[in-house]
Amino acid sequence: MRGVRSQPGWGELRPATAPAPASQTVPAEVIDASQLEMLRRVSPDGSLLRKVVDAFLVEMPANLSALSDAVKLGDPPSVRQAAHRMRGAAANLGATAVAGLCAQLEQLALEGHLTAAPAILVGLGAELERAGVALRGAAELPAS
Amino acid sequence: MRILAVDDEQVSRLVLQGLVESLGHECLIAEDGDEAWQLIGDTSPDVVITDWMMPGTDGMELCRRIRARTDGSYIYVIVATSLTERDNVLRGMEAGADDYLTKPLNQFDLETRLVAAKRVTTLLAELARYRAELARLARTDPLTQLRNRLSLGDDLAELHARARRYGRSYCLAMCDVDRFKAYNDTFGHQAGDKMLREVGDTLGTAIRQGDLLYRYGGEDFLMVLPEQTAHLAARAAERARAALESLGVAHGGAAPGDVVTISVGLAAFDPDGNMTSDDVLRHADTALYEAKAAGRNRVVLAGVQPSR
Repeated sequence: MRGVRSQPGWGELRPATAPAPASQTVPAEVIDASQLEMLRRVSPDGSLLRKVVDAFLVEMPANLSALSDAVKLGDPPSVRQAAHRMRGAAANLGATAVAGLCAQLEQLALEGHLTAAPAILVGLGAELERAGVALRGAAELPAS
Repeated sequence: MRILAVDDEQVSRLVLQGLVESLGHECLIAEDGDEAWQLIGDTSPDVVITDWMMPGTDGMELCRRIRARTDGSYIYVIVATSLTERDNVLRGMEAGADDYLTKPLNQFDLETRLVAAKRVTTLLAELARYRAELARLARTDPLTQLRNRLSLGDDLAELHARARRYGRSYCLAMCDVDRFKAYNDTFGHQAGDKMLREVGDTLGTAIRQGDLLYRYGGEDFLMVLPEQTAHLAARAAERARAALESLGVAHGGAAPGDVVTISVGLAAFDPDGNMTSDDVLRHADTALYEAKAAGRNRVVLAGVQPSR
């Protein structure tokens, strides 16, 4: 029998994790596919995934603008609340980059220091855009 | 199972609902803690899966409220939170949660939690049934199936407090089977038991709805007559005494043709005085002794009520 060693290792399954010469601001993956795969498995006709992605696309712009307002107003509790909601939504669809930036904002708000928030907010807007495009594509794809 | 999913964020709600339904459970949805609390009262779910951080009533407050409920069956509570909020998990469990799930949720974690939830809620429902049955048995006299002395203690304390507060009267009628020992000696203890059951049945049929009958001791029964004046209670006691006599259960004691009878000592609570329920009981007992001394098979009213 072939042993475990003959199986491809992590390094072979994933894109190289070594520092790429390309721009560092672009993560290798926009969406962690495992959450999407689970949603497809639970509802093989893709209806659940479509419904969830649809809700994500509808509520995220509003969440982002609420978050942005709270940052402008220098209101840490509201920043924390809005970032928390966005993080939950993003994590559920495997939008790890979005979730990560929201977690950073939550942490800043919790500590009461919002000085770094506007910069993160800019990155969040961009990541949200990319996640939205990727999710829209994923939801319209037939189950593989 | 019926599962209530609580989250203030729509994507999380949809995912949770999809997972719950894919596992064959009914899923109710609440968008915040207050709506969840309302739904819990209306629908009695088996399991509540709640987000931690929500505006208004949050996950911790919801846990506390669920555990503070005194009625209804046990609700299994699962807190959903992210890995970075581990401190919340412990606080949630201390506030009454049974388990936790980390976000993002996945089907496997949910399914395993629900297996435990099913087991625990089934066990606790069984326990609640046993407990209710035991509580009933503890308050029931096994021979006559009447309420017993333990039950009397609670019921009388409640009745007495109510009567005092609202200035109402009540009466107690202590009923004792005449020459019970002689009956036992003649027919044996098993026959004595059977006779006590008959006496209990007869007295139970003679009292009005709202009146209560207890087995007080060996051959003693106590009738509790709420909201009754001594005059009305005396008529009720006399009705019960006559009913037993006319039943004609052969006593076979001293004289031929003798039947089983009771003597009754009756006492009324005077709301204008300062009586305790023990005082009323004692007056009834004294009146019972007077009934015995006067020749048995009669009702004697203790001289404690104002004559009007």
